[in-house]
Amino acid sequence: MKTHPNKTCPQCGALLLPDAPAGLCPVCVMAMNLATPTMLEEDGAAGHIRFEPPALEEIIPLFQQLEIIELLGRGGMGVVYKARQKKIDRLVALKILPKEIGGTAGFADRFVREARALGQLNHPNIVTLYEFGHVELEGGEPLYYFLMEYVDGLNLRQLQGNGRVEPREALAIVPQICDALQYAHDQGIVHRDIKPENILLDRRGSVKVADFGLAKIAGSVESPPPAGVDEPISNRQSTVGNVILGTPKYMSPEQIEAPGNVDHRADIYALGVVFYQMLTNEMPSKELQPPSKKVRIDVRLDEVVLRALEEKPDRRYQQASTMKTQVETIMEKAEPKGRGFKFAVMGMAAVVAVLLGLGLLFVATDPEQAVAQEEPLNTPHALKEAPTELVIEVGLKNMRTPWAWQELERRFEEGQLSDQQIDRFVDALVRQWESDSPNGYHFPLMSLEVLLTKFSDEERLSDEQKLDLLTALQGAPSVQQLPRVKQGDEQVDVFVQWRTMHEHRLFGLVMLSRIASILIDGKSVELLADYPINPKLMGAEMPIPVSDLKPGAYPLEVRVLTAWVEEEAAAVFSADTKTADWPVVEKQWIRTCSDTLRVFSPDETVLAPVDDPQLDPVTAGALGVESVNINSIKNGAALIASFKFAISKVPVPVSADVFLTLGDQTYPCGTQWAYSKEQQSGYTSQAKKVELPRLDSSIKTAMITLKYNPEYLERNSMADSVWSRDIVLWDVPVVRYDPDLPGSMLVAADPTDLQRPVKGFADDPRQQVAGTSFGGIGQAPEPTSQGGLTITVSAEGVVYIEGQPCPLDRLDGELKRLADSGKDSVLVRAERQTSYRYVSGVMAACKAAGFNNVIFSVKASEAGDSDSLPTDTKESR
Amino acid sequence: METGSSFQPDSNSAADGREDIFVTTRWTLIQRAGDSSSEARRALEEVCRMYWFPLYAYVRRRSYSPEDAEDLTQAFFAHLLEHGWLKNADRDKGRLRAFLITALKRFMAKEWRKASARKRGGGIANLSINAGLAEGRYEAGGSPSLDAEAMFDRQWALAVLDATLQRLEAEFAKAGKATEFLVLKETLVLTRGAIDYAEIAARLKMSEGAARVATHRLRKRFRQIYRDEVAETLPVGANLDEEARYLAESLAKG
Repeated sequence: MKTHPNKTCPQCGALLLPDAPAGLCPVCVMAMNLATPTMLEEDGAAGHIRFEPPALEEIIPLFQQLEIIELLGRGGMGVVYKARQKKIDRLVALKILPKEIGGTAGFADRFVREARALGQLNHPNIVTLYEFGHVELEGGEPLYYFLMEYVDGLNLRQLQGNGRVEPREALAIVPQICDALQYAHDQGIVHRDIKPENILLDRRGSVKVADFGLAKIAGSVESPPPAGVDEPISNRQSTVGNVILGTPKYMSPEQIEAPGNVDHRADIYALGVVFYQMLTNEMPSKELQPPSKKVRIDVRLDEVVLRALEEKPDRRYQQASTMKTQVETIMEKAEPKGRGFKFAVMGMAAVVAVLLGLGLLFVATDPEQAVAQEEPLNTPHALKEAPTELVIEVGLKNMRTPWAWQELERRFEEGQLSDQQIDRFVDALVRQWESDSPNGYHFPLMSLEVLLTKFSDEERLSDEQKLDLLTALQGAPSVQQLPRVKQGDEQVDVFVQWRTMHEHRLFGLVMLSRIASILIDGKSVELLADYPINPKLMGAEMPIPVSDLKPGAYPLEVRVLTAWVEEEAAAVFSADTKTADWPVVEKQWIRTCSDTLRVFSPDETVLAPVDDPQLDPVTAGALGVESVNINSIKNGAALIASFKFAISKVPVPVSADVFLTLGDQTYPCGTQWAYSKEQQSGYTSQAKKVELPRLDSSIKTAMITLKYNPEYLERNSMADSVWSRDIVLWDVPVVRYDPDLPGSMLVAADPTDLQRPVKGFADDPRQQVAGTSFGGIGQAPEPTSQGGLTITVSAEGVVYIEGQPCPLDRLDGELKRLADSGKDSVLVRAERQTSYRYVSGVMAACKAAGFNNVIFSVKASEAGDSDSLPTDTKESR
Repeated sequence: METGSSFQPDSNSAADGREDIFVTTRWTLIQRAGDSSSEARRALEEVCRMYWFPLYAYVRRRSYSPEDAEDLTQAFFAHLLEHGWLKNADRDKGRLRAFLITALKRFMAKEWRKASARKRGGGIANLSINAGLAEGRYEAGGSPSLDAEAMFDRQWALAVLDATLQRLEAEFAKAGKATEFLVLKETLVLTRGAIDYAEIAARLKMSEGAARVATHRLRKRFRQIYRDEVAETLPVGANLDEEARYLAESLAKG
């Protein structure tokens, strides 16, 4: 079956494949119809109309002076693209207002008037407006846009997405917002929509406030027309008498009451909310509690926050500058004595650390990191003066902060590092990895990688050193799940895990690992297939036949073959390529790990029951429940109770049936099991859910019982022992959501329970990393020619021919023209995120146009390297 | 109001009842009865028919040839129907999607050799897998960078969507509104602002108001059926939204 290059999705412009269900673009069908309410809330835009931007292909031809690079984000006020002004080669942010907005009466005048005023704002903490205006869509509809300064960084919401912003980071951010507000207020401009999404932080840690006055411009949008047709909930909620202004959660009381008539003190209130949220990681509740009641901070900050949050504008700070002065006074006094640098500087350093870290998918939330920031020497400033040996020492102690590595890089560039220093450094690094992380160092290397790569590029590392580094990074394999089996079972699953470089590259090399052989009692077991690693698990699971083994304990040995492969060669084969087909193996070695395979007779139990009270998972603080949440379903006709267990290192594995007791009713909720692995720091269970007929509103607490049932662990052989007593968690708060109020408002229990952190159960940092996205501030495709024609397909499906965007409707004609002009081969390159649907369509179009040689290549490295796409290519079929 | 607006495919009240994820689903029926009842067996056959392709795609992505993948998928289902594997289905792990892929992996590791050693097909009712079609779909679907599991998830999500749209189309066809479906289905991918109601009205010879209502009903019904189809693959008490979100993400990965 062939692709039909001309059949594209009218919504996203993607090329459709023949298997698109009912000929519709599956991604859009899902997106248009199945966005769940939760997603809207998470978006933080629940209070806004969710405007839909025009399709990208509509936009590109309208802005000839721009090269549209990527979508940065969308929100209530339109959509923002990263773009490049071709003439002056400047990166800009193109904000397109929703087209619905343009048609409203009086909008054009208001737009020009307000935009001119905004254009006058010129302040280092305010995103500069370069240009504004409108273009006409095909039907003559006006499309209003702003061209603004592009800020390479994060917004505060994204920063908060990685956990609480440290108080000193907050203290470094707030005064800059105050500066921006004071300046604008002096010009008579009120922001009206201060919220974390509008506070941008660039890579140097400077604050830039975005979207000044936009709320006012967008403020008089008519409520969307279709009467009688259901609109998304978000739309209905957000229109207050035809006027949308601000974001309810951050709006001052007077702004909620009379949105059209507010002054600059509304901004001060909103800043108060932002400040409160930064300090406590919670939104201020009705019964306002001072931040110091929730977190350990200077009590004088309470005064600042509470004053900004005064209900009556007259009682708030009257000027943003006053608020700034007060914050700075507190900062100065908080400056620790005897340290050679200013508190504010440290605060900013922390912000920069987080920013840098996020850019490289690394989160500064672990305690080690927090301590590292306290270390006086581990700052760029202090390291600058330190002798090289000390810089290395600080770096090794604080492996995951960038400062020491950046300092070494600087010295290396300036030719200050001797070969001996480099050798000693590499030795120390290898030793450190081997001793601290015998199972492999599994954090991103970031600045350290930059440094090592530089050493390698300048040929200052020997092959042995490289191999030492790679081997230490990989660590030793280990058997994860215990090999336990009952006699008569035909197979046992052996799960071997190791840290692998497969998804990571260093020195232009990729390390690949594969199970080579398995020995039981010294005898090799026949592998049933060539088991590839699973890059996600960094390990492999293998069923091995054991049917003829008698009860007893057998030594089990797993041999892992590891090979060092050139990155270019590695790119042409998949995770499934058989070991025998591995290309260009420069060097390979075998590492082994062993365990004991136990075969139990059918009447034996696998698990030893433990009931030592000192190992009780609950009193040890390793198992708990935050709250039981009650939601309505079926339009309030029934209720559903749900809860999750927060689990950290359990002293003894747990396997139990779970029961929820509310009042005098008890409901079974399935099973729960938990056991601790070495690297596991904490996680939450899947939600346990149960439907309730009704619930007496007087019930404020629940009881959860875990009845000992070893069956799960028994079957899955993850442990040798199990907690053999029943566990009872009582006094668990019940949090209820009222079915009658839109947006699931909290009505019962203590509101503070909602965001109450569970003590001692930090989220698994790996999960946080996985959930972190860099908000689209990655690298744009960098089209470069490699002989023949180069076509780049961006993640959004924009097609660039030799760097120039080509609208899809002109693609066929353009390709034909190029093919006829004598070009024979074409390289189609894609971003990692680019859907293959886009690529395959483009490739089919190339073939149809007459190109003989169509090659497909995908960007192999994650966004972050500024280098162009690598040369590894894969022949298309 | 125009009369054109009164059309309503199928009975909505029945559909509302099925929104409830706690009623018996196709999957719970299979789980509960094991393989003992003919009803459960029928349900399983139906499931196999709907979901063989994601499994086929998984096998292909594990570097099996098209022929082997076809054989293997066939044998897997035959095995599933023949043997009492469903008794081992882990109710807590729950989802049909997870069950099938786990069972398939085990099958690939162990049973496949046995099964292929035997002469294939003896007395086993083969599911009709159209190998040519399967290979075409496999070639066309999904980015080459997807690993086998991601490929499976993606194809699974497509299968659910496909089942939804087919059911929707069938409902319209049954009500004698096949043309209406053809015109209206295009709106499923559009944002509200992008829908040209006037054009739809003209094509369907109804008023614009009626076109709005018909569009709205189509969307609503689509959502109902989709949730319904997802729920069919879940055990009692599972989180439907979570699964729906997972499927949407699987698709978005390309």
